[in-house]
Amino acid sequence: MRPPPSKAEVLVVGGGMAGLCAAISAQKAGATVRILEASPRHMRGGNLRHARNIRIPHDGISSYSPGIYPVEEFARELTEVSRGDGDAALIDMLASRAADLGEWLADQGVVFQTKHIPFSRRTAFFLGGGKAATNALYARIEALGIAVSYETPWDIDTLCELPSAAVVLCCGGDQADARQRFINRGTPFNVGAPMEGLIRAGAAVAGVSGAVHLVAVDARSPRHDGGIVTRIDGMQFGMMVDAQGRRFADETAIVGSRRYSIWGQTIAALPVPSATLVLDAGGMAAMPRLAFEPIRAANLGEMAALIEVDFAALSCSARQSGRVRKAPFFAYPVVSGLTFSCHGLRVDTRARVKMGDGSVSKNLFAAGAIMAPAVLHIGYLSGTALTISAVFGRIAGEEAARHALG
Amino acid sequence: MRLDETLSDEARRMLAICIVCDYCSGFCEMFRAAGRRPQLLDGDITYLAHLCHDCGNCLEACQYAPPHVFEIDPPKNLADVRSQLWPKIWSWLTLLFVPLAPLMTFLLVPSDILFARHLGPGAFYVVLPWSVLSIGAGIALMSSLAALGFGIFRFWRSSGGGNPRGAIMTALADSLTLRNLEGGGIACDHGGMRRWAHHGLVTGFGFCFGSTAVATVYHHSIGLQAPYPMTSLPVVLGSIGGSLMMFGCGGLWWSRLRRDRRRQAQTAGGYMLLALLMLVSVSGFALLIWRETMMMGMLLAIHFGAVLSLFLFISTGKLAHGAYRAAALLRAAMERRHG
Ligand SMILES: Cc1cc2nc3c(=O)[nH]c(=O)nc-3n(C[C@H](O)[C@H](O)[C@H](O)COP(=O)(O)OP(=O)(O)OC[C@H]3O[C@@H](n4cnc5c(N)ncnc54)[C@H](O)[C@@H]3O)c2cc1C
Repeated sequence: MRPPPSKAEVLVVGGGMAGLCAAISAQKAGATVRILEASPRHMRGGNLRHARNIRIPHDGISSYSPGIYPVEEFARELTEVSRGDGDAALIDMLASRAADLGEWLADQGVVFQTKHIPFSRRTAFFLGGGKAATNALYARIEALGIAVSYETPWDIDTLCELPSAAVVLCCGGDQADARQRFINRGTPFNVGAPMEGLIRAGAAVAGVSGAVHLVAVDARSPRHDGGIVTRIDGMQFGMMVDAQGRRFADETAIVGSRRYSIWGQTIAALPVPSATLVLDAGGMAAMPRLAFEPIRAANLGEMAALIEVDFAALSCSARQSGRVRKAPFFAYPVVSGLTFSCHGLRVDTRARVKMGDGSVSKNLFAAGAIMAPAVLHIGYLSGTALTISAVFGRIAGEEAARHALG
Repeated sequence: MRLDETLSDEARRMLAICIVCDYCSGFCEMFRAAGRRPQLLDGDITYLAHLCHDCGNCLEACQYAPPHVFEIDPPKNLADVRSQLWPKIWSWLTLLFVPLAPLMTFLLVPSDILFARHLGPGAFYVVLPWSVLSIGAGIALMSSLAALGFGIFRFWRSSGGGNPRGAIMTALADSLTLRNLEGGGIACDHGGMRRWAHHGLVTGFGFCFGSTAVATVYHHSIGLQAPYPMTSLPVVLGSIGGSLMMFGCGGLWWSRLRRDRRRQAQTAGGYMLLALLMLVSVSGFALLIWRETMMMGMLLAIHFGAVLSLFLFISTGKLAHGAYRAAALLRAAMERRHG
């Protein structure tokens, strides 16, 4: 046996889906591994904590999702949503290496839910959601003897002096950066410092700076970490008014699974980027259950005062929409909430960080949300974020171990 | 039974978030039933509270568990709602019978009778007359069952009423196997231990009940009076039952301690019930072992007091949870049938 090295051969920065997969793979490939995680223990797992399902192709019957979903179909969809701006080699790599992901995750202890879920041949659901998957993966990490340092954010100033033979960056995007003007739905620890440091040091940029994926959320949500329950839905049962009390979109025309993000973008584009969903008694009865209680008012005048808009404008909007008539009235304040940013690093198919000058770093790897824009550009396909994290996490772990072990 | 308003408001706030999130739908029936009742009226909340088996899987898996600002803790919150039905003060009052019965016996029964050795058929009844024992226990059991029945009736009505025929077999299986403690695929907090201990306790309870039933038949139909020989059916049934109950109480106490320490929870009602059940089985064995000594009189009084308390616990204490849990499972089975 080799004597244990004083410092880990592979350093994984960030303990979310990407970091955990990278650490497990690197350890299995023979390297000693340490994970640095910015968050305290109870918030570990990054945005995996908030996630529900993961997209996994399967050619045959699988035990965690019904039907078939060929690798080629997955690759085709990826190319479509990235509108040709995604890296074709990464897309192929992602689609093909995702095929055994279900079994691999199950081997690590992750349990999938097979009953009481909507039919989905493309995605597999974690039983109990992403926090349960987080618990399972951390239990695996512990069993493998991989060290985890919590509350240890890492920053990069120079590329010359890395603390380990190989470093894998799995520290997510920059959604929690104080300069983001939206409610951040995910973990408050993704401030994007390592990514920014690397870009300053000359790393190649993927995606578009400032491009973000938004959904409509309740304005009363916490600034960070509100997760999935803060989403606002059911706009078609009432009317959406802006800060002046005027309508700005046809509520009944925005339907389908993309409705959340269309509203998120539409509200963000308003001069004052906030809105209110106003409903009457009938509309309220048709509403799906939302996490927060609505604001209530006996008449429209009272409602106008409560949501601080002009009464004349509000009643004009109500008349115009035709859906807000019968007292009492209800309202939900709505703003845009940030799911992830579309700005990150470029990597090659071995998850090595690409530099602006065309060279490729030998000992610096990146996986997960930090490089997802290299695959998807500014597009998105539900459940794919986690697939990217897991697949490239595994690749990065294997490659980092191979490099570290020489 | 009106729900305490702060508690029901808190449960409503929490369950609204649970319904919207829905990540726990694979864990147990509680979350699926919540999804079927998005209005969350008071009757819905009591129903959902009784469906919760308190396994803790959801809390472990919750992205909103404390210290998150949403402070979602379904096991604790729903246990609080449930325990309103058996307030701690009632449990304490009911437990008074435990010291009261021996004390009264000591004061009322002349000591030359109480502390003498009594042997042969009818020995027990020299100290505590058969009429006192059977009327005391009878009144306690009947009044308790009546109160429980009334409570269950109100529970059934407030959670939607209706005729459960057709769902009964499913609900029976759900109750007896404690299927919801399986956690849908992720083993819960000592789920295995809790299930086995609970099965042991319930089976033991059943054996003891059987022992009493056989003894009653002996007494009335064949004129055979207690104490019965060591190899007689009542003693054998009672001994098996008592041992199973002691194993069950121990197991449940242990897993409850571990759980509470982890969650920093306080579940006094549960400990009271377990302590009482333990006392019933231990005092039963003590009576069996020392029934031919001068200690018999006091041991009989202690056992009698514990059994009286236990009977009253059926309606005033946590023992009621069994009936409400079964009723909630019946309601859930009914909802599943009718969609
Ligand atoms: C509410 C919500 C729901 C979602 N649902 C889904 C879903 O259902 N399916 C899906 O596919 N995707 C979903 N996503 C997206 C998906 O969760 C993320 O894209 C994915 O988890 C990213 O994984 P990651 O490991 O790359 O990064 P993250 O999960 O963001 O993890 C990054 C980790 O790095 C740590 N970190 C950050 N900076 C540092 C530093 N300097 N030093 C050390 N550690 C650091 C963070 O604390 C964090 O733990 C959702 C996102 C959100 C916000």
